[in-house]
Parts: sequence; structure tokens; C-alpha cells
Amino acid sequence: MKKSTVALAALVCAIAVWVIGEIFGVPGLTNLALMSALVAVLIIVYYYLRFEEKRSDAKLIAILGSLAALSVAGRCLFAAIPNVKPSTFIIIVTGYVFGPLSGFMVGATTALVSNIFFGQGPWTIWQMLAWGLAGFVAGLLGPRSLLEGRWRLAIYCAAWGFLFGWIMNVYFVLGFVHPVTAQSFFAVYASSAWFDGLHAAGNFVFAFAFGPALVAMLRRYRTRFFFEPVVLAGAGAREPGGVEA
Amino acid sequence: MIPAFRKKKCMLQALHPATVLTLALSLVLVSLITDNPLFQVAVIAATAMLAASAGVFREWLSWWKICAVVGVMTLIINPLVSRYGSTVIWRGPSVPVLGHLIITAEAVAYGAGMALRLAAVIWVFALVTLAVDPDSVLGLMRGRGSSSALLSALTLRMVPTTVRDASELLDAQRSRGIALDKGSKWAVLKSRLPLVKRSMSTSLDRAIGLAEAMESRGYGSGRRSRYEERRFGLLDAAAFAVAAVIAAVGIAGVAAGVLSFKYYPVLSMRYGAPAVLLMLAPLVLAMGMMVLSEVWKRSNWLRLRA
Repeated sequence: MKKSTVALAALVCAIAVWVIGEIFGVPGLTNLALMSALVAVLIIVYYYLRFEEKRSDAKLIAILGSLAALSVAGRCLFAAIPNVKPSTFIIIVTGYVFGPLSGFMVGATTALVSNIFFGQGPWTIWQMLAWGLAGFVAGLLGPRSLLEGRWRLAIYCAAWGFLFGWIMNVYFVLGFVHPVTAQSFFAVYASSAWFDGLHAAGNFVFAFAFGPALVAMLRRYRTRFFFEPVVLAGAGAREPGGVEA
Repeated sequence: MIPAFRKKKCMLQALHPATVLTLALSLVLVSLITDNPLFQVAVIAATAMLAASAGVFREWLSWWKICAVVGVMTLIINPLVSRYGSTVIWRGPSVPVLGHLIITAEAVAYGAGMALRLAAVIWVFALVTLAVDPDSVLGLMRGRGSSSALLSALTLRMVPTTVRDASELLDAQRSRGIALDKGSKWAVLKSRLPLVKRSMSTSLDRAIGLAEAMESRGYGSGRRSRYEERRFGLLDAAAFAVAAVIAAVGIAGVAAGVLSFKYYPVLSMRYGAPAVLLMLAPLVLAMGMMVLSEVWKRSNWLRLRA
């Protein structure tokens, strides 16, 4: 059995135990901070294991490492402007061009490594998850070319500016606010709205200014890096191929 | 930016990274499972002692700003959304979505308790950030998760290079007379935008060279060899024992209700010798680690054994 399947089974079990614990009020299992962190960790572990199960490819790791480094450096260079950073935009474009798993890995690695400079904390797991999902979902949209064009990409990136903040707020509400009600979520989301708005605006500007150019650039590198030999009726020919399904 | 890890001659850095992570995990665990604010204070104090023993107390303390920001938010939001508690201290107007504002002393206390819990967890992470070499933490994944560990290690290595490239590009722009650091935040952002595209192109070009270097050294051609440099020693066993006792104290205290602290409907706490003993346990254990750290500094034999 694959390790990622075991991780997925563990994730399903953790969610089931959490739900059962909540229904029957089992002490320990109703600890939202602990259980939500456990579920977030298991989701991350699942995707990391899926990445491990792929064939080791120096080119893919080098290119993903470069993009993650760029994303981290972008967060450092734009640190002076509150919550405006090109990281989310770079992660989304990476996922869109190189596929969901690559997008997730660049997102998760960006959070893990950049927090070595900005400070690790209980938020690291949730940042890994939020940025990972930003790249993953963009990767799912890639094969259908749903983010083609300046406006679509910019709006999608802006939306993830808010989504990122909302995912980050989940850990805060579940762990440190009582009672957990719609009002609690509203209060926390309202208090972070200006911060999330800045993130969204920054993403929009980056994607609008550079989106199509960077997508084209990454596609060019993908073609250079990754190809599959296709034999056509006796004659050898090479055709560009995708990184992952 | 926060103070980063610096190599120092201290016991905490001499331990296996897995040991320090286990110790940190035990502190985070007990902090998350207990509601008792006095126990949270004990966890913070224990973490402070460990930071002092690692010679990073001043840097560790500087994380108070992060704790304060998130703590204040916790302190404000909890009384706003909670309708529990019997001691009403303020009745406010009706607010859309939130309804009638009723601030109770218990809800304020709950907010303060949660701020303490958050501070405890953040300060444990601060200790890990300051006292554990990030390279050695990534090294833990080697052999188990080779691709993801390599990806993280490469990213960490390439960040300074990427920042240096960007700085050179900025210098080149400045030398052409472009004002990069003047004006509003929007002007600063606008002046840096051209950097993104150029930096990306440079990074991707470097990735090609990197991939070729990796392949020429045989990356991905077969099972990789591994050299285990760090081994578990005597001190690791002691630190593991400390972590196990801290976790056991927290779990037992919660299970037996000794560390119980109720915020609603009125503040109530169980007093008694067992509660005091359990609350002192993390402090005593951290003090033990401090003493051991001092002995470690003076004892060549212990340093070699570790």
C-alpha cells in the first residue's frame, strides 16, 4: 500500500474521530485547536507523500526550488509593504503551468522556508495549507486553460488574497475564540478584512502587470525542460509534454 | 524580520534536532489541552528558562510584539462574540450581525486566557526558531522524504542568491537615477514591479544549471546513500524524558481534572497541593535542563558523550 494512501486513511479517520468526538462530547476530541491542527498536518503530509511517490526528477526539483526561492525572496523584498507580496501570485502561476502537486509543493515550501526568516509559529501549518491549496487549485484549472488572459488571472489571484486570509482565520477562531459561531467568524473576518484586502490588491496588481508574461515564460521553460519522445510512423519526433496529470 | 538562528555553544544546540522538536511539541501539546492560565504561565516560564539556557533569551523575548498583536485581537474578539458569563460589566448597543453587545468579566478573562495560550505556543515556536538549526531540521527528512527535503533545502539555499540578484538589479536601477525608495508605498511598490519579471527569468536560468549539476552528480539515478552524522546520546535521553514527563503531567492533569479551570458561568479553579505540584512540574523540569546545560558547558566528558 502506498504511504500516501495510508496518510489519506489517517486523515479520514482523524476527521471521523473528530466528528464523533463532537457529537458525543468526548473530552480531548472536542479540543478544536488540537484536532484542526492535526487535520491540517495530515492534509500536508498526504500531499508531501504524493510528491515523494513521484519519480525523482532533478529538473522538476530545481525549477520548483527556484520558484519557491523566488516566492520567499519576494516576501522578504516586499516586507516593508504590509501584506503585499508576490508569493501568492508566483505560487498560483506555478500551479497553473506545472500542475496541482507542483503548485502545492511550491506553496507549502514557501510558507515553511519563509517563516525561517519571518518566524515559525502555530500559523506555519495553516500558511503551508493555504498557499499549498492556492497552487493546487490553480493546477486543477490549468488543463482547461481557465485562467488565460490578464483579467481572469488577476481576479483569481485577488480572490486568493481573501481566501488565504480566511483559511488563516480558521485556526484562530477554532483555537482561541469561544463560542465558535457564525458571529465569531464574522468578527474575526471583519477585523482582518483590510489586511486581506491589501493582500488581494497586491495579488491583483502583480497578476495584472505580469501574469500573462510569466505564464508564457514558465510554459517556455516547461517545454525546454520536460518533453516526451513520441514515435510517429517510424520517424522520431519530440513533442512537448506536461509535467503531471 | 525576526532574529534568526545563530550557532552557539549550548546544550540545546548540541542535542539531536528530533529531541528539541519533541521537547517543543510536548510544551505545545500541554499548552493546547489545558485551559488553566496559571499552567500557561508555567509553560511560558519553562520556555523562558530553556531560552536562557540556550543563550537566546533576549532574542526570544523580542517575540513579545507578535504575541501582543495576536493577543490583543484575542482579547477584543472573545468578549465581543461571547454571551456567556454572569458578571456583566458593560451593555452596549445593538450591532448588525453581532446583536446586542454584552461584555462579561468572564468573557474578558477567557480572552486573556486564550491570549496567554497563544503566547505560550508562539514562544515555544520562537525557541525552536532560535535554538534549532533549520538545516538540521530539514536534515531529519532526508532518507524519509528525499525529494521534499531537497526541495526545501534548495529553496533555503537559493533565497540569499535570489535576494542578492534582486538587490543588484535594484542597484543597477538606482545607478540609472531611478528613485526607488522615495514617495508613497504605492510608488515604492511600482518601482519594484519590473524586478519580478527579471528576477524570475534569472532564477529559472539558474534552475537549468542546477538541474544539470544535479544530474551530472547522479541525482535520481538510483538509491541514494546517506551519512548519518548526528546520533542520539545520553543528553537526548534526558531531554526525551523531560518531554515525556511534561506531556504526561499535562494529560494526567486534564484527565483527572486537577488542572481544571472554568471560565463560564463564573471563574472557578481547583486549588490544592496536586494542582500546585502539576503546575510547578514544567518549571522544575526546565530548571533541571538549565542546570544540566551549565554542567554540559563545564564538563568535557559530558560534551563528548553527547
